[in-house]
Amino acid sequence: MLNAAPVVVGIGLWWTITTFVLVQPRLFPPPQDVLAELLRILSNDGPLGPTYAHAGATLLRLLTAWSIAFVIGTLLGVLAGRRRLVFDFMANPVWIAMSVPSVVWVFILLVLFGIENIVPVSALVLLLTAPVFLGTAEGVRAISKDLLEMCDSYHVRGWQRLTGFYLPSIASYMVANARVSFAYGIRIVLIAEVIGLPNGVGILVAYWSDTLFMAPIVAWGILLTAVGMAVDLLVFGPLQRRIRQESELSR
Amino acid sequence: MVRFDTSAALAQIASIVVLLALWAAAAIIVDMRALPAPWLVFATLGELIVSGQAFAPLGETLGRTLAGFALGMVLGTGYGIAAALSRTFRELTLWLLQISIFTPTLILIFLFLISLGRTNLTVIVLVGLVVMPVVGTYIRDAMGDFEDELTEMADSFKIGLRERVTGMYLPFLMPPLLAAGRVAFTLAWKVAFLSEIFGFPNGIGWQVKTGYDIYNIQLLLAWLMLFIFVLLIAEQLMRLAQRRFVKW
Amino acid sequence: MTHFSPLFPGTTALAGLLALGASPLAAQSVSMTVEASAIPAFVAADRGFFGALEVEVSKVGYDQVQALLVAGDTDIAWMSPIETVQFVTEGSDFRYFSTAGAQNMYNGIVVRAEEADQYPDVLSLEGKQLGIPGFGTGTWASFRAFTRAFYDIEDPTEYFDVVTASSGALLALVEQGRVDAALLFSGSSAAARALPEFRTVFSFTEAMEAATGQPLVINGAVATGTWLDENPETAAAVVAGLDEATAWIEANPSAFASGGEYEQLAQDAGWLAGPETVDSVLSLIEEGKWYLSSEDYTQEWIGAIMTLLADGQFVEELPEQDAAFLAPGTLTASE
Repeated sequence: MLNAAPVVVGIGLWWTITTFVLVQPRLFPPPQDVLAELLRILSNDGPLGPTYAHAGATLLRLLTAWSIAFVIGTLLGVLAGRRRLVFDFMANPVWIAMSVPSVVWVFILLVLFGIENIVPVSALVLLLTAPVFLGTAEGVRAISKDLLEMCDSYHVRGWQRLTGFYLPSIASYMVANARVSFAYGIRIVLIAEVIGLPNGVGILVAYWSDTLFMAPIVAWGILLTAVGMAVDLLVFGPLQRRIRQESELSR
Repeated sequence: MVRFDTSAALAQIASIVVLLALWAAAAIIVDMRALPAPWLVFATLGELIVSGQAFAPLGETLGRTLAGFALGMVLGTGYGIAAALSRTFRELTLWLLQISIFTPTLILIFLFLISLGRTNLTVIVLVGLVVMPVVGTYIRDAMGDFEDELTEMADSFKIGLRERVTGMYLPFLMPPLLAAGRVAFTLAWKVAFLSEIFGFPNGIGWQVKTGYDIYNIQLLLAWLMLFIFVLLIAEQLMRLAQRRFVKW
Repeated sequence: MTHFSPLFPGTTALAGLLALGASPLAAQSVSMTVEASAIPAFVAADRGFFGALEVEVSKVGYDQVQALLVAGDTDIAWMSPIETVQFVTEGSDFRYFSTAGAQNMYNGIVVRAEEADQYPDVLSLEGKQLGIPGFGTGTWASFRAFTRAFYDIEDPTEYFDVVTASSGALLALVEQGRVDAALLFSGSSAAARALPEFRTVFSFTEAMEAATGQPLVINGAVATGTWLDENPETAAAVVAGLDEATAWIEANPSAFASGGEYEQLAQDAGWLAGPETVDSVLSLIEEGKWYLSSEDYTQEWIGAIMTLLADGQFVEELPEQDAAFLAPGTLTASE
């Protein structure tokens, strides 16, 4: 109950202001207009073809980029967590990748690849790899020296060492990384899409912004936020709790 | 007490050199207006700096970033402390916080620029709001770890609220604040830059957008380099501060 | 060069909230919101051509100009006549009121220079990849009307293989051969005109001239009908200032070349993309072809646009002419 109260108050305020003070539904849409747009989106109707196709394209891009970023970030992170020199070498590139906004990456990549899916996906990979990398490196560094020495004495090496030792030891870090990078991804995926693609929610949002209708933009914002929160609550939350319990049990 | 680590510095420099070499090679192979060579870009950047043109946009972006960053840090720290101390407050704000974490930045930018108008204040508030949940969760979790023992200690010694804040929480919070600050500053700088790209008509982001619209990639990259340099310097400063404080 | 205030300090929505019910400003000062191509407005403000009238010229991005007028945050906006009609159709109280200082719509379609022989005109691009700056843009809406009215292309998305990308990226894509041709915004078009890699094969104003004898502009002065009714003298003074600035620009094109007084303005508008070929834009200016004056704002000109929009099935129901365009001569008569 307490959770919902401020949100309800917020919607009430929004309604009051857009109904009595800023009466300009095109720019300041009242909640009922946004709701109508939400229903329109859910009924698969939009100005540039079926909305589900656009949403699907965006989610597919996000999932692809997020998976790739997770794998690359984790592997590089393990390496960097083990060897200080690798970490120092990676620090600046990772940091540049992270700090340049996705829209700029998209522009540079667009020049290299043309209007292709690889453009927003690689831009997202560049931005999402960084937090995974940093988190993993931190996790690996936190592994106790004793365990490492034990590994050395049993001659556990290479792939076996990665999957049998490093990854289980940093499982809780990995879930946290996945969670953080997914949340980050859902926030920035639209930015990567507005500049050059045939479909996607970013294109729709740009369309509504070009024609100056705010209601559908807010509606899409609510949808994406809801998807992000649902995934976080239903997938990552339970996963993180389970891993935490397991690691406490094994101690 | 900051030890200078030679091999680390070398590795860091080496990576930059490798990146520049890759860029130069790509520019020579592609040979197009769309991908100018690094020396051309740095020459343009040099001109921007020497002629003084660089400073007004840099100052505008930096000013808004810093103001928004400060706002976000204050709000975030306040939230973190309140959420760690009061269960009711935490429950009340849980959904709001979740919403603010997951709302797409692009939509926030469009909304803010259109409904609050294109003023410095809009961007500052926007930056602050994006930064706040990041700092807030950081501080809340850091407080949560130590809250019980700290409160117990404070209770048994009967320490007043004011002293509790200045004497206990703040020194204790310094390391997580610095860590959160590093992440938050990068975020703040990026959000300020993005608002300029998507419609705020001055600052570095606006210059990048203009370069882009008129297909002057050399100019675009020169501004981008300036953006990266400033961020690098800020990052190094904060790393230094962090090392100092954490050592202490 | 003086600094133009690029920020918009006028009534924001927030301030509007506080100052609810405040009386309208006496029109001693007027706010005008433009994008980078509105050089006559900057020059007029800088050189004092608006006389005693205080005109605050703020520069924002192309698509935000309209938002500010819709929100009531600016008195005068620099907008396209075609988009004005679109907004009127959608219920806004906008009036286009003068072509003084408006820029000819030289933007259009560019191809690679070496393929200019292969694709000499719009029809030759059938089935080819055409990059456009977005389906929600006024440029695309205008182009759709043009293809229907003048080329008998019922659905340009079927006639061409249309892809979207932002205007600046499109030039890179054309240069690289990723798309065959691109429909551009004005800044990118000016840049393309000044660069040797590209050739313009279709421009809106030239197509319009060929078909109707009237030019087409990309922008011009727009205000709400209410504001125009209340402030005819102010509007007339703005128009006069813009006319004077346009005349000054035509007499002094060198001020916009590299090293000139207004080099930065030209740079921002895309004219100086290639210093060696900036001449193409400057010579158009010198010939008086780049900008229009208030004299071009005639019944015939408005009629030509309305006919184009009707033939091009621009919107389902075209508004009355007087609802979108202030009748020519209204402003001068009231002076």
